[in-house]
Amino acid sequence: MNKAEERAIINKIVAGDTNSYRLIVDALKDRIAAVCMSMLKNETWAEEVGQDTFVRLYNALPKFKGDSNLSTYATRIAINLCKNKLDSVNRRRNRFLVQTDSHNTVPSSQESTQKKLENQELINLALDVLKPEERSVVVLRLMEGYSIKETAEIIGIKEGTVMSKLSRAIKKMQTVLDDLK
Amino acid sequence: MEIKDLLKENEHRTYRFADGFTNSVMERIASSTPILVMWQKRAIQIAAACAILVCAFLQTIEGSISLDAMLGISSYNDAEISATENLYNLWDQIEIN
Repeated sequence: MNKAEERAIINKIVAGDTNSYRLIVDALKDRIAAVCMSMLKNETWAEEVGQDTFVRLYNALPKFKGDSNLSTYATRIAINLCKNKLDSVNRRRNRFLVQTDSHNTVPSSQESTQKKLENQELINLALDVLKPEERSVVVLRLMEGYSIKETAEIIGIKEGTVMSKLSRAIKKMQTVLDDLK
Repeated sequence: MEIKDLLKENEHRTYRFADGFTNSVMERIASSTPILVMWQKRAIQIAAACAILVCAFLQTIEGSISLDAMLGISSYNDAEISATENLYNLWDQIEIN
């Protein structure tokens, strides 16, 4: 879908032709699925966040001026919703850890299963140590192949910040892998 | 093992939502739109009712629905205010005496 076609569809949707939105969802859903799955590593959450992304995008269409690509705009919404989801999951997890600490429960060791881990699982494990914003930089730049400029635009930070966050995130992830050896 | 190499190997991995994803989104939008419109209409009705009440209140209390009345600015001039003040002072004097 080129930019002119995209604009024409948006105009139709804003004028009340809700059904045309199906075209936008079909065109963008694979990209959003990739971002949500890479960020969340959980199919149920990814599907949930993916749906929320498209509902929010629909509500934001009347205000969308076309300064950026619609796909970039949708990815930005998805990344923000994924970060919110990760924050809420981490908060819940921390609460749980505090409760289990008081009962002297030792977290299960990951070392015993180290040899069975496949590449994807290793990546998931390494991604787990990152903060939501660092994770979004790694997912967009290294896993989804966005350029530094696009990554900066989607997350809403400067290109230099993307690069520094990326190098910090890679160091953290590498430490996790080295510890597993 | 380098994390960069691992990520590179997984770069072209594709993910897809379940088959009914688009339909679910369209259903959610269809169910949320009437509620949104309904609330917009309700908000406009409440705002209109408030405006009518304010006008009626101003007309009753101030006898005018001018901008001055809305802003709470007195419509009396300085001479009228000082005349009223003098009258009150006179009443006080009479009461004291």
